[in-house]
Parts: sequence; C-alpha cells; structure tokens
Amino acid sequence: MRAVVLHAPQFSRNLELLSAMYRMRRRVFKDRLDWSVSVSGEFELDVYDALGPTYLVLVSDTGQAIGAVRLLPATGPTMLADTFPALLGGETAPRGDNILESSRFCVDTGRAAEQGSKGLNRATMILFAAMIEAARLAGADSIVTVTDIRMERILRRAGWPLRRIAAPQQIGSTMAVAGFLETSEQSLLQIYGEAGIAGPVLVSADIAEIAA
Amino acid sequence: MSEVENTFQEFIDALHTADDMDAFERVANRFAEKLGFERFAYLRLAGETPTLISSYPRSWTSRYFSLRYQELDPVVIRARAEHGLFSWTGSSSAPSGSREQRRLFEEAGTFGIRSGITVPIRGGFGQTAAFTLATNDREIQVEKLAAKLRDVVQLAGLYFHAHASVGLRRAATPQALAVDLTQRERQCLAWIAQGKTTADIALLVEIAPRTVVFHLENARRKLGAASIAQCVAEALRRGLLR
Repeated sequence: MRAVVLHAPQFSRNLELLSAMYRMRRRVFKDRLDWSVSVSGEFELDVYDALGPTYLVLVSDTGQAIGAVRLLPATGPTMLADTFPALLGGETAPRGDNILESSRFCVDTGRAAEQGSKGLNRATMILFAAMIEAARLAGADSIVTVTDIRMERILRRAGWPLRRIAAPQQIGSTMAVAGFLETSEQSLLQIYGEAGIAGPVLVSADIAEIAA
Repeated sequence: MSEVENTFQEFIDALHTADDMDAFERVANRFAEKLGFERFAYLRLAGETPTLISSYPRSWTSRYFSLRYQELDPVVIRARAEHGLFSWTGSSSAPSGSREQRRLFEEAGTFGIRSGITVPIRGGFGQTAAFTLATNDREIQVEKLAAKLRDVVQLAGLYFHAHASVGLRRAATPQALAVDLTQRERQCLAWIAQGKTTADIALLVEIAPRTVVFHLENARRKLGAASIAQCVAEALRRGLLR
C-alpha cells in the first residue's frame, strides 16, 4: 500500500488514477452516504475540485485506488469558510499559507479491511500518515478540516486528536465538527506506530507512473 | 502524453483562469473542436430558470428559449433521467418522439446541430445540467468512443459544471456584465421566460399590465435586444434570471 500525491498539473498524465478516485468518491459520498453532491455517471466532483487541489490517493499492492483525500491551501476558498461557516461558531475562518484544508477523506473499507492494533483500519492510518507528510512537505503546520464525530473518535483513538474550533452541529444526517490537526513530527511518528510502519508512505505521481 | 490527455489538461488549466461567460465559452469550444466536434453547449436547469453557455448560433438559442424548447428537447429530457454519458442523433433514422420533437431536431439541423454526446450532471439540491458536444454529422455512437475519451468527456463536463457554478456567481456582478436590471425587470423577464403573458404577470406581481410592459421595455433596452424574446435569451445567457 502506498499513497500517491497528485498535483493539478499531473492530472491528465494520471487520468486513470484520477478517474478511479472520482469513482470511489461517488461510491462513498453519493451511493453510501447520500450527500448532496454533484455526480455524473460514475464520478463525483465538486467546486473545490475546480480550484487545483492536491490529492493523496491510497493505492493497494494490486494497483486499486482504496482511499483518497483532497488538500487545499487555506489561502483561497475553503469548505469551512465558504460552505460550512456555521461550524465556526462565530470564530473567524482559519487562513494562511501555513494551513491546509483536508476534505473528501474516504477509505473503501470493503477493499481495505485490514486492521492494525486497537482495531483501527490500517489503510485509514496510512492515509493519515500521508496527510501529515504532505502537509509537512508543503510547509503547513496544521490541517483544518470539517469532519463528523465518528471520524473525530477514530482520530482520538489513533492518538491524533482533533482540536475543535466550535461545538459539533447537526448538518443533514451527520453531526459535523470543524477543527485542527497537528502536523508535528511527534504526530507523524504516532501515526506510523498505529499503521505499523517505519517511514514515509508518500510517493510522487511521476515516480509511481515510472514504477507502474 | 496522448492527444486526448493533452486536450484534457489544457481544458482544466484554461478553465482555471476563465473568469467570465465568454472565457468559459472559448475554453469549452476549443476542447470540443480538438475532439472533433464543431459546437458545445452547457445547459443548467435549477428550479425553472435555465442557464446556458454555448457556442450554438445565438439565433438558434434565442429561438430555443423563446419557444421553451428545453421542456420538449429529447436530449434535455434524457439528461434529466439518465446518469451516464449518452449519444443522440436528430436524423430521420430516429422516427421516435412527437411531431414537435422531430421539428425541433429538424430546426437544430439547419443550424448545424445534428448529433452529439451529452454528459448529464446531477448537481446537489435538485439541480440538473447537461454538457453537450455537438456535430453536423448525422450519426455518432457513444459505444464507438474509446473508454478513455468517454471518461475525459464526462470529467470535462463535471469540471465545467464546477467552474461554471463558481464563475457565474463571480461574474454575476453588475460591473462585470455592465447591465444592472432592477428587481422588477428581472421578475417580469423571469415570468416571460416561463411562458406567462403580460396579463398573467400583472396578476402575479400585483402591478398594472402597462407597468409590466414598462419594465419589460426597460430591460429590453438595457440588454440591447430587438425583441422581448431576444431580451429573455440574452438575460438567460448572462445568468441574470436567478
């Protein structure tokens, strides 16, 4: 299992991986969670995908996309500021080039069922590690995210707790909450430990392409 | 990188810097042409008011909306019902559909729109959009398109939709459009676009019929249109009726 970083200029050279990610997102966010998202055919894609984000795509040893997350700098529009400002509880939205916002986090647990210690899904841990690595590479010292209290619990158990910005709120059928995640070396080592790995998981899309 | 991949990358990069309707139109038109299609159209239906960005002839699109063809158009009806990319043809080999629908296709044909592929998009909150690449050829079969090309066109449609939803909101400021319709003018035009008569609107908006005419005339003048029908089409094209 590895996490491939995909930056906007690399999209078309990695069309199959990109398509596989949008397909997985449709399965997870539309078919399973029934969010009010834009879909066409097998794909799910929204306005934040149009802003040139970076994707981390988790790829299994057999080459299947089994997880993904989207990262956007908190210098432009963010989901927290522009889509879910209610979750700020009156606070100002986090801004700055030292902050990344993560969204559309998903792991296809049907295809990646392996569990690590504490019964935490191993693919989830590897994707967490990839997020911290990518943030550190981008010079970001924290990740801001909108998530739900179920994921907040997983983060806490993994030893990477969410620092809440405000109290959770009911949005649709989920209890949504916004907060910060640390990207310190200590957090990274903690997650490596939970994933049962020793070092980096992130691979550049260009290198992944050559290796494939 | 293959030709199709290059075209896709160029498309999403160019969309990124497009900031008004004309720029969106140019970007999508270049994409269509590189894939061998003469024209493209993006139609968004949110509530009852359609938004169109296209390289179709203006004379056709204004006729289309003034006759409310979007309610009759088999391509739009299919896009509302289906999820995946599909191909269509308006040639006489397709005898299905009502007489009006066949006439619509015949008319479209005279504007060089005879067949195409359409990407239906299901937006959040009941919104539907359709991204179409059209050609003057009489036949096109989606099954014959390479899987990669199908994925690229489908993703292109979704990217266009995503950009257009953001971009149109940004472009819909008075100075960007250099036209500032009053709320009454917009209201009257929106009702006209939905097939209401002056008398209907007078009842709906609770003003005198001649006041309705006054507002419509003002809107027509502001948009530089020759008729109320063209005025409606122009207002729709500029995304003023939402």
